[in-house]
Amino acid sequence: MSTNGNALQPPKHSSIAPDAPPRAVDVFLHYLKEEGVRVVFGIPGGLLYPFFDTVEADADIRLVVSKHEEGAAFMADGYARLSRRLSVCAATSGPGATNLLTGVACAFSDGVPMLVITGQAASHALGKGAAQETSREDIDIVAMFRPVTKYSAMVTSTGNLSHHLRRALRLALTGRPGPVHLNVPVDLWEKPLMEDWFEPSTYRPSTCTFDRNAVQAAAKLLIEAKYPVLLAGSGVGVADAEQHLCTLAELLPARVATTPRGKGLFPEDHLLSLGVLGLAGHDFARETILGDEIDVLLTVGASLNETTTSNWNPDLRPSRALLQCDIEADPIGRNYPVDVALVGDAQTIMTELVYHLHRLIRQGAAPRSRWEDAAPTPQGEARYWDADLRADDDVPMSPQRWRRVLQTILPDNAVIFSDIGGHMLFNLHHLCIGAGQRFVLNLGFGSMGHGTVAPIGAALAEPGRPVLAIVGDGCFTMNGMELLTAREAGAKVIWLVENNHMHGITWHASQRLGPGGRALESIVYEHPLEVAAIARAMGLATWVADSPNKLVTAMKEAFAAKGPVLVELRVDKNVAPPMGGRVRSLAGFIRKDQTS
Amino acid sequence: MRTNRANLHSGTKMNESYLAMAQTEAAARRELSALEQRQREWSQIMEERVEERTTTLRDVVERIQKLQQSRVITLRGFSHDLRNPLAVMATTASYLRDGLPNLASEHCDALDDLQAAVDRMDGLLVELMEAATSKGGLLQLAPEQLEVDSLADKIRGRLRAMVYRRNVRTSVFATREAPSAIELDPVVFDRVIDNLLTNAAKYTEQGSIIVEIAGTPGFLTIKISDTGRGIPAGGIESVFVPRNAAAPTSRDSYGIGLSVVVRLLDQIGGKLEVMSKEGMGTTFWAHFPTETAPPSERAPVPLAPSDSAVELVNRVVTIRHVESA
Repeated sequence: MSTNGNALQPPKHSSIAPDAPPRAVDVFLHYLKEEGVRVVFGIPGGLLYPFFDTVEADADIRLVVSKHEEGAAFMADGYARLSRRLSVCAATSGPGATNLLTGVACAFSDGVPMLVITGQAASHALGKGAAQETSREDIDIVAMFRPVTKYSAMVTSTGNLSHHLRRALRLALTGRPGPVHLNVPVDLWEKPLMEDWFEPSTYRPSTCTFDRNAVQAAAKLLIEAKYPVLLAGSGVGVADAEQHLCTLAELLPARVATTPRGKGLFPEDHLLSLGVLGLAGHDFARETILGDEIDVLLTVGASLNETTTSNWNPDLRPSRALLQCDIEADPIGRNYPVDVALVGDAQTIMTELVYHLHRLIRQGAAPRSRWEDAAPTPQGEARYWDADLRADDDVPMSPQRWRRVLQTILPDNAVIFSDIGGHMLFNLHHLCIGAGQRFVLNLGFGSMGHGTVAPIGAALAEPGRPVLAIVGDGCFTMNGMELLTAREAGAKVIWLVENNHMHGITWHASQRLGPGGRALESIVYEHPLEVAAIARAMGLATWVADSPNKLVTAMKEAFAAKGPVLVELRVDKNVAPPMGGRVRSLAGFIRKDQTS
Repeated sequence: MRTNRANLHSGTKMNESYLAMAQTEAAARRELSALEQRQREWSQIMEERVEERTTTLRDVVERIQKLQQSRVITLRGFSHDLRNPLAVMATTASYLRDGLPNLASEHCDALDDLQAAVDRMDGLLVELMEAATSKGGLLQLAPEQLEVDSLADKIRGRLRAMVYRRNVRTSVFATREAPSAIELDPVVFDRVIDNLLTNAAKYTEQGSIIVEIAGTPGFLTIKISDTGRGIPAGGIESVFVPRNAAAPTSRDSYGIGLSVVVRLLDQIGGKLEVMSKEGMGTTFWAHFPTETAPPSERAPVPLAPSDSAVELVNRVVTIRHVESA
């Protein structure tokens, strides 16, 4: 254990006398700043008041107050995804803390590094029934967070605060990143705390290990493969390994598909791109990976779950070898037998694979890939379903049509968030994410509202980058009040709300699942939802578009406008999203339940 | 009484003499003062005139410097900016040829012409960049913030065009250790990298070239590793020394532009490492400081580079020895 041997100096905090010793909260914030934290998302409350008070007074950290704690967690999630750094959200004890849970579960499912801080009753009052107390004896908030975090603990004294914090930071930022939770009794924050300071590099290793033998075996299989394919999951994004994936693919060459969650991690306009495999994916990806030609498949950061594998299709078995790369051993071989397991960081392993392939080439070997002689991957319109709906000019527009129009005016560096619902399926299938663009979808946990709110955090993380949120009206009604937070925080997000006045995916699916094709009518709104009017009331500039021309005009003005804006898209509600695979999966689940 | 009168008389005479002397002295002082005043006035007039002349001369010098600077900036801008679309043209020509295998012969000829024109223009631009950065240009670095993210794509495109139609596999990628941005004159960066890439591409008939963009604290490191013909043992030092103008130069000899690489890296406080084995290949590590030092702290630029070339090489270049396998 090494330290620099210096105790933390008294803080330059206006509320503290210059000669006062540092308090626990000062030490805590010092660690956060050293980890690059510049924003805290949350809603202040009594049992976490000293923390919020100090954050607000600190010139180096910005406090962004959301309208609901779930929004704070979503924003922190979006911030971390874009900045690829630790983010922080905080809420007071009781309902404030439980409101965070869904957002934290999203971050956990998608490997997003996040520190969650919750308030607690005073340490001397625990177990006595203090207001909003969530101690171990009663409503145990630490236990509640345990399944959705990598570490959840209550700090019981100032003496172990730094110990807990360093452990939490280490776990959040190493291995598979994820959220960590610290619960702090309100009386601890202001207590003096003099102790040795640890630099981040002394408590947080940056080691990226890999198995050399496994890399050599994988490289040999890949260089000998005639029809190698790479399947990129969201882990590629977590490891910041998009470029390395592309380098590996081009070296062989191998064709590349992504999982729905990994959409865009390989440029979809690349000649080697197969598009998305699985939920609302592309035919060519499915035909290639489930077909007879493929001999070696390397999955990278993909868990091979239901949505990727179309309900665990047994044909997903290459003729020669399945190679699986994951940061953790647990997903390896969970659903398919694996020939070579590559456990480790995706960037490190792909770099090592590239080096080893070059080594083999220098020794005289030549990649045997035959993809260059095969039929080319479909490009442009040939990739999509519903050619007629993508082309027609009916009013209101079809969801396919407006996405085709949007595609032509998307900036090269755009970040596109999708929420969960029918619009997500259209986004997955009908958008093409090119090099430099980014697509974000919380399909790991699949929470509605994430795609509506997380872009606010993303826009604060990269203020100069165009951030778009393509969401449905259902998601908007759940978390739309956070648009007010965006306006207050000056976060430039362009919301594109596809309004069909109902929960479209459930309405369409229910016609195929329900007895006699009856749709669930309760999820259609009684009164038309005026999305743009609601956003205007929150101070946003808005546009309503029901035709391609109006959309183009609106988007031009939206990009040029200052601050957050919203474009409401009125679409034909009778156009069903591309959900055939998912409906078949659900029908299978339901039938199984009935027969068991 | 008489004596007293005589004394009084002589005293009066003395007084008159003293008075006359004082008057003479006062007149002399006045004259001296007037002369001094006149001298001051003349000096002032002279100073004013000298100042006037100096200002005029300074204006002229500034104007000349501005003209020189604008010439350099224009040359830099043109040579730098024109290379990017040129790289696109070269790559596009390659893709067209690849993507359209059954081209008619006249279309093939057209593509050949295009390729030749691109090559020719590229050569001219190299010369233009040389003019922009040699001597006068060298003294005027224009550091900019360069995003490292985009460097890999840029290098990948150039390298691909350089090895087009050859049995050479290339890979370009960045590691986490690479800084996110560096402050550097883009022309200097381009020239260093272009020279190293050109060498790697030129001498690698088959095999592979890897470019890794990495870093150490304070430095961006570009590692370029090829399986080319390599540099003969004992000859590594000489490839960095500019050739004597009288000596014959061969486009096939190793080291084209390496003296320029060394000179430019020296100017920005960078370093170059090399490891090579004849018949096996060569690896260069070019280390660029993440921040360009202010002009006063920069290494002095040799007025005649060839005079101090050996010292320059010793200062900038480190030769790594090939470890036995």
